[in-house]
Amino acid sequence: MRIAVLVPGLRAYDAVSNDARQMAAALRGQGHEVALFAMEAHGIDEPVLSHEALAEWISSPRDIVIYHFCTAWDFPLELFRRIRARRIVRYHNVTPPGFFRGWSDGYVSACGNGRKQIAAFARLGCELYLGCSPFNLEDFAAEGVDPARMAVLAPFHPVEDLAATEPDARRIPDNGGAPLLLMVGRIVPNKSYLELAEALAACVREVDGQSHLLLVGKLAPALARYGEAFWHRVDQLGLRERVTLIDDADGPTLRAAYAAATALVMLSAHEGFCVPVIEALALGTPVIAYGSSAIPWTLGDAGLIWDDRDAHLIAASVGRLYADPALREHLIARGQARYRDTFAPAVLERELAAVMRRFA
Amino acid sequence: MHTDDTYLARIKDEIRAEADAARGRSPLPRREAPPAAPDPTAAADSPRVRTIPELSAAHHLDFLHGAFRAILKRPPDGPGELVQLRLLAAGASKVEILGNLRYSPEGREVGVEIPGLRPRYLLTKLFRVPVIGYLAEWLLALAGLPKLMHHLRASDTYNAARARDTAAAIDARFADHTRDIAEHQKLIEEQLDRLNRGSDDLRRVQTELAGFVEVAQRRFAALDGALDAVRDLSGSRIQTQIDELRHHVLSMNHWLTSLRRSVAALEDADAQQPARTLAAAVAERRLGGDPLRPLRLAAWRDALAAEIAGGGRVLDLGSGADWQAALAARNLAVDGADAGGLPSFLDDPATALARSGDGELAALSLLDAAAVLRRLPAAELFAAAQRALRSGGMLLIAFTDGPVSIADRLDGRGGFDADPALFAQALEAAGFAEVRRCDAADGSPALLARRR
Repeated sequence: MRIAVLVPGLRAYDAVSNDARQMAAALRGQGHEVALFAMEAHGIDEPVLSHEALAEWISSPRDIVIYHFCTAWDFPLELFRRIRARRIVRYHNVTPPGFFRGWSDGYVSACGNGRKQIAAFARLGCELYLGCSPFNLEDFAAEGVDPARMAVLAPFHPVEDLAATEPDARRIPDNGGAPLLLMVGRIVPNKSYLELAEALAACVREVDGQSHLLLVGKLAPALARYGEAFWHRVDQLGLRERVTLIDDADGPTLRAAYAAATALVMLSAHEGFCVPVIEALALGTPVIAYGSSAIPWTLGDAGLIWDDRDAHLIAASVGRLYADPALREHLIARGQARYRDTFAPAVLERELAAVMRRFA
Repeated sequence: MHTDDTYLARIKDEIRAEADAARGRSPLPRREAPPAAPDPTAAADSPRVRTIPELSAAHHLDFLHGAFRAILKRPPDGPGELVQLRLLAAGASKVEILGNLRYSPEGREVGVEIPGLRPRYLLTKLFRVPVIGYLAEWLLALAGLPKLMHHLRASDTYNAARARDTAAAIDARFADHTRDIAEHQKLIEEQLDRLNRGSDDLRRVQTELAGFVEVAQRRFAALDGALDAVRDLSGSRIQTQIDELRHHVLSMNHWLTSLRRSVAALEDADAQQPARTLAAAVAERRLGGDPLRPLRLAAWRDALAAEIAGGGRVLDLGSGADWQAALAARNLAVDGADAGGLPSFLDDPATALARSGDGELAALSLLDAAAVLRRLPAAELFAAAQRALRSGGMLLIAFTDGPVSIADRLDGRGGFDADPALFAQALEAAGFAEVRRCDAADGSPALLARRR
């Protein structure tokens, strides 16, 4: 049986790419013939075939095509309509366009198109809709997909590699041991960077005047206005000196960031899974999070999770973690247990094998 | 004991209470509306009717971005742009790209009007149908061949003109760059001249510095030599001189001490002279009236002389002038320190022994042992005898009356229990050899012992 793994694009340090590549590796490990297909690939050290060659590569109706759905792309929709093979939609979620309204028309349009394709894929009656979280499957359930055709499999990730990396703390700000709030993720509106700035302001006022916010993530050029608004808010709160942005972090720097942080503060309002949360769980960094979308499922009972993003609530959480070593140890122990029991590579490989038994 | 859930619930309640209090204490400034950014493409994209030539005028990315903005009213997203770019690269016509955008679900929603696009787009789609599409495209190409030839000739002309313009532009740019390079070369040469001059200056300074270094090294060498000399002086030479000086000072001190004691002894002797004169008169009578004393002295002298056949100096400690005379009669060199009257040195027998050099004496005699032992303990006496006697030298101890004991009794002192056996054991313990009795014929006890 051949399995084609189809992705819009493959890049290093990209969550969807990591999932696709490691899933392909795990499937190969289970004895399948697997090939990666994409429109483009950058910084990938394994063979990637053109998406246009996929239909010819499939040789039997029993073969499987796994499409990693994360953005609007007409090709797989057309492919799934006509191809004679079994189809799996691996759904990473598409951010609702409303988050980008007022920031970027391009993102509004692209995300809107992506969201429209959810219904189109649902109507195709694919053999399996494989969500990265139960939250993701709600989109297909809303389109009437039979629950029997749906399954959850957390994304594959390179957290073990990160844990084995030697930390490089040269770019990590030294604030004399005061609270260090860490956020890892692209600078996009749904990840609530304005709220993060306000949480930092409350920390500086109420917890420790030397509190610092460390951001590890990139700003897309098309969202420059959102980046400007974030820095404008930071300046308005008088915090420019208390915020550090690293937009080209490598593994050792990211490892050092988790090691130095008082907590990962994840206030994102929309996540299909949220890989930074499991990175924090695995590396022993406590998590303070806004309980939106998939985050409550990913984090489980291993963090301080709130139903709103109030700055003082987040600051008080940081202050408590900073001053209460017992709580910190409690959350770290729970986090590591959750990672080990639910998201460790061996667990994911077992779950993937269980999913693939449906196609035996 | 709590469960994990109640523990976290309690913590969260406390955090929430703290947040409520903090919210009242330090409210944050209100968030301002983000700075407005006008959409630069809005005015350009506003027309609802566009023409194919207008949209097709640009090429490659410019064409694609223009088409997205005109037809979909937005910039291209990543995957969308890639798909259309790949189609262009694969030889698709611009009409097909425009049609893909216009007749996509999104393009239909936007609804921009492009006269003449639909039939031409359908025709491009017809070309995709196997066999029929190929024939249709072939026929269309054949029908359009004359026009294509015109276009080709026009293209040739255009390309030639463009090539000429490009060559001219390149020549002009090349001339500009050549001029720039010449100017830069001139600047570089000037800089090189300056560097060379600087280099000469540096070499000169380096030579001067080398001279200074050489002088400094010579001075340092001289200084090192001086320091070595000082180090020598402060070392062995100075130490030797200090040792000599210390020796002189100690000798001087010793001499002064001896002088002071001698003066004191003389003063003391002068003060005690009447008593000594009396004691000497009594002793002379008493010893002279003892008919057996000459026999005893003769026996002991013979015994001692037999042991020191090689001769040598004999020191006697207060045994009496008759004993010293008896020794002299046998040609033994006697140190008669007490010649005439009473031996004043017996007040300090240790000093008399100390005046003898190491191993200097052939024999040491003390016939009035009681008088000596009242002034010098036996252990010190034996140690001094060991030092002053030569190897094989003899010690003679007798327990008889002598002038000093008589003087002591006159002074109210005296009383001595002679125990020759005890002293024999003491001598052996002190390291003497051949300890034996040599009592006189009248039974007066005496001991002879040899220094090892």
